[in-house]
Amino acid sequence: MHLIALAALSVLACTKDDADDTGASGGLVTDQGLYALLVSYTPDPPVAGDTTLTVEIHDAATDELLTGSTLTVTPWMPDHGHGISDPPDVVEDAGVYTVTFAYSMPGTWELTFDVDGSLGVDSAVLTVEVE
Amino acid sequence: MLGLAALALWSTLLPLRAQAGACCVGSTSTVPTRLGECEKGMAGLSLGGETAVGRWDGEGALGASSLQDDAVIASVAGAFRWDRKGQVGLSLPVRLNHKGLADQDLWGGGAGDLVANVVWDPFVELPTGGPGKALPVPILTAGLRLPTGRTWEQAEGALLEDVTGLPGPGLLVGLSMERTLDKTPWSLGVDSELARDHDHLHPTVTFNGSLGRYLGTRWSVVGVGRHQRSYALDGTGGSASRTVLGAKLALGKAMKWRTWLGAEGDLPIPLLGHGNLRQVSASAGFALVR
Repeated sequence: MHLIALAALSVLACTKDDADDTGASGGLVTDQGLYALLVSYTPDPPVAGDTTLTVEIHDAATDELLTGSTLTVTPWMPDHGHGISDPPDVVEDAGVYTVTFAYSMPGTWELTFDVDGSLGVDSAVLTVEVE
Repeated sequence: MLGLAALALWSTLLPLRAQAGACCVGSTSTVPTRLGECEKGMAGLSLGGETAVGRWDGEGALGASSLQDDAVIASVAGAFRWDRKGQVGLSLPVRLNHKGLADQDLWGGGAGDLVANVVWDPFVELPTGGPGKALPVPILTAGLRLPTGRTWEQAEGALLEDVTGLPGPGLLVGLSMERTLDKTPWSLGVDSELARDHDHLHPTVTFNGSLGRYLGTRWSVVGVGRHQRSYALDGTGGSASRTVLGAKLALGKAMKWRTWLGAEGDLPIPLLGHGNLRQVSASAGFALVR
């Protein structure tokens, strides 16, 4: 299932205009293999301050775009042991989730995506280098 | 950002770091506010500024920082010697932080974390001149950092510009070897802090050294260097490090007062730091000594 999901993600990522070799945008599969997440950043590469993530949630087995899921994003800076002061704002529009928040400083951040959707509850962690 | 707090914490610890027993050691130590053997107490104030000039990424490569990150830090410190072998001290920093992006300037600050520290100086340092009389002596320190500052969880600023402290208390332990009675006093040591953040433990280890020179009876200069590394014991975090060099010029009158001017900076060399902003800083201070 993971191989299918990763293959689907690679196709998805290549179709995104803003996903390039230098940016952080791309795809990942949740820990239990339920969901494939396609994440794009604005700005990309990420910098300190306001940022916007666009997240698509797909069925990892069929590549179907899923709607109506609950997505929670938690930024965490492991090297310094802190998060952010204002929780990210998440808005869904037809299966596309727009997430807005502010990175408080440059460095290595972890974004934890918790998905509660039609396939169950699953999560994934994405490491991001903020310039 | 917490790297800034860690640096500030280190600065607050400096007046309390142990050195050996020369009366004028306060003028040749890394910060001249510490007590020499002939001194009973001190009260001091320092004022400094720091700014980020770049960063080390997680792999140790140098890069530019998209965030302007500055702070003005005032620290008050006091120390009292109750015995030849022991002294106790308190210090408290107050921070004014500035975070700047292309389209916004944010300010915040307040009191930081209070640090209490005990210095144990068990051996008398002997003057040069005979067999075994030029040996360095060991100095032990122990202390507690109290989370009196504003933590990131309490912060309201969008870029955490109002953070002034760490989220939990810290246990401080240090050991150094020092030689202060020669014309070129020096020290080598290690300081550590075991910080507790909710259910997580975060140790920080700092290797430091200093090499000074007396310039007549009142003036002295000292160079300092340190490498600091922080970890997360329980796997909840990564590791970060930095390497700093600096110098301090001091002027003082024994058992009356001393004043100093110093500057230091993170070395712009790859792999000497990881996951931290690179900073430069300068500070000045004055202390009354009795």
